[in-house]
Amino acid sequence: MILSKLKQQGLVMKQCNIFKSLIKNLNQEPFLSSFALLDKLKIQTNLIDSKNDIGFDDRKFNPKFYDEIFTKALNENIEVLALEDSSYEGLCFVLKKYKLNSKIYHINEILYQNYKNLSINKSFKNFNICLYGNFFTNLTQEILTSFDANIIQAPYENCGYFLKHINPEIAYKMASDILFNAYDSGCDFMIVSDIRAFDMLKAYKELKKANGRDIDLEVYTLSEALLLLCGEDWDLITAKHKSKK
Amino acid sequence: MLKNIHFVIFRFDSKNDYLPYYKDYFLDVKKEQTLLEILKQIRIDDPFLSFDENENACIKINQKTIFLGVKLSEIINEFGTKLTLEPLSFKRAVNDLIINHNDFDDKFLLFKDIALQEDRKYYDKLINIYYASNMTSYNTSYIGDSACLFAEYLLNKYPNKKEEILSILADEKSGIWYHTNTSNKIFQDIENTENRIFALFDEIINHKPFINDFIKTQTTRLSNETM
Repeated sequence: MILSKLKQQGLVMKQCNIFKSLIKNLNQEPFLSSFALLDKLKIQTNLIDSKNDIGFDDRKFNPKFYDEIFTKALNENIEVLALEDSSYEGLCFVLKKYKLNSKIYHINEILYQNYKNLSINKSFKNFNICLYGNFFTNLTQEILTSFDANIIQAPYENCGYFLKHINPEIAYKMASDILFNAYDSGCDFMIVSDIRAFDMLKAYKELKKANGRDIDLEVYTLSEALLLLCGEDWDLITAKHKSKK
Repeated sequence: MLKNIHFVIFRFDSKNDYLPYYKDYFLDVKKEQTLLEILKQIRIDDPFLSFDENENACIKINQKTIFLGVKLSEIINEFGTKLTLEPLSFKRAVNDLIINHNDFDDKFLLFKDIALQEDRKYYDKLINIYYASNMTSYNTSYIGDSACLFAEYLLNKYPNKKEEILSILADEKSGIWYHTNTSNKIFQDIENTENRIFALFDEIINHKPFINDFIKTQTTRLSNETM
């Protein structure tokens, strides 16, 4: 892999883009947790704080935004790291559209290449984890099963985010179907790699209203799950796990 | 010859069964056989198995829509040797792999004043696109991804009907807004669905004057969000 070669040469990613203000009013913290992990892995990254924040929302993408990112990337020969699916999807779309040569990485791809270097002393034995994502789910699955997790692969259905402003009733019904299906299949928590899906699946109040049922199912990113395995907030997750059994 | 390929087939008779069930079949098959030929082979031992005997008929394999004329070598290449065969829609299942596709047919009527009967042939080819999306189970009035592609075909064929076609697509309750990405639900999407629908969105959003007030509101919202 290119990254491994670069690392062998003593080079690291010069800069990465995480879409700091990706989509207004969305909870970005779980995705920013990747920085803590990248730090642990000693992968140097820098943040591009783009003011034109949006990549792919609903059906419109902002070509100016991508032009800025890619002009910068091409001029400075930087590699771009997307911390979640929507930015990865948008960046790949533009890469193809403008026939650009920049290299885009997805965080789960990078974590797959490096997770063995983490100091992990916990395991997900007896945990059923449901994966929801559209990119590199096979790699995510491989990482988690190496820590004894039992994986439940959710069929990839749209989370409804794109309808949030058009028909919220249907939007939350779509999201609640994903969450409740995961819950009903015995899942302990979900791993989600898309900020839009994360936003929808954490809207418990609306999901409860859409489905008429209450639910207490945590949603994490892969980075958060790996941080948990490193011992951070481990008590919190095991307490939840025990209370469910 | 491929040995011991595992087929799991959805079985349901709407006249007699309360719930569907799945039946397993293990077959030795040839790579060049089509899905249709495989189903016929299975029916030799199981004469009650129902499916449309037509290479252009469509079912779902491992949750992706697929035509019965596809060769097994391509299918195994994508899915491996365990294949789950289901009808295009559970809700509309009539007999095993056969469904009632009146909902798909009805959506053609939206274009009755624009399209000619000869255009129907193209619409019928889009049945795999229509049932790849689960949106119609949330919003039954959604015109369907197939109708979006059909509208694009009509726009190219009848440019003088542009306004009429775009107003069907831009309808607030049933229009193109309800399209969801189905690229992982269609086996070999020769229609290039996502890119064509994306281009249609652009055309609708950028059309001046705005096609309707709803488009105006949405376009303004999107512009504000990307400022």
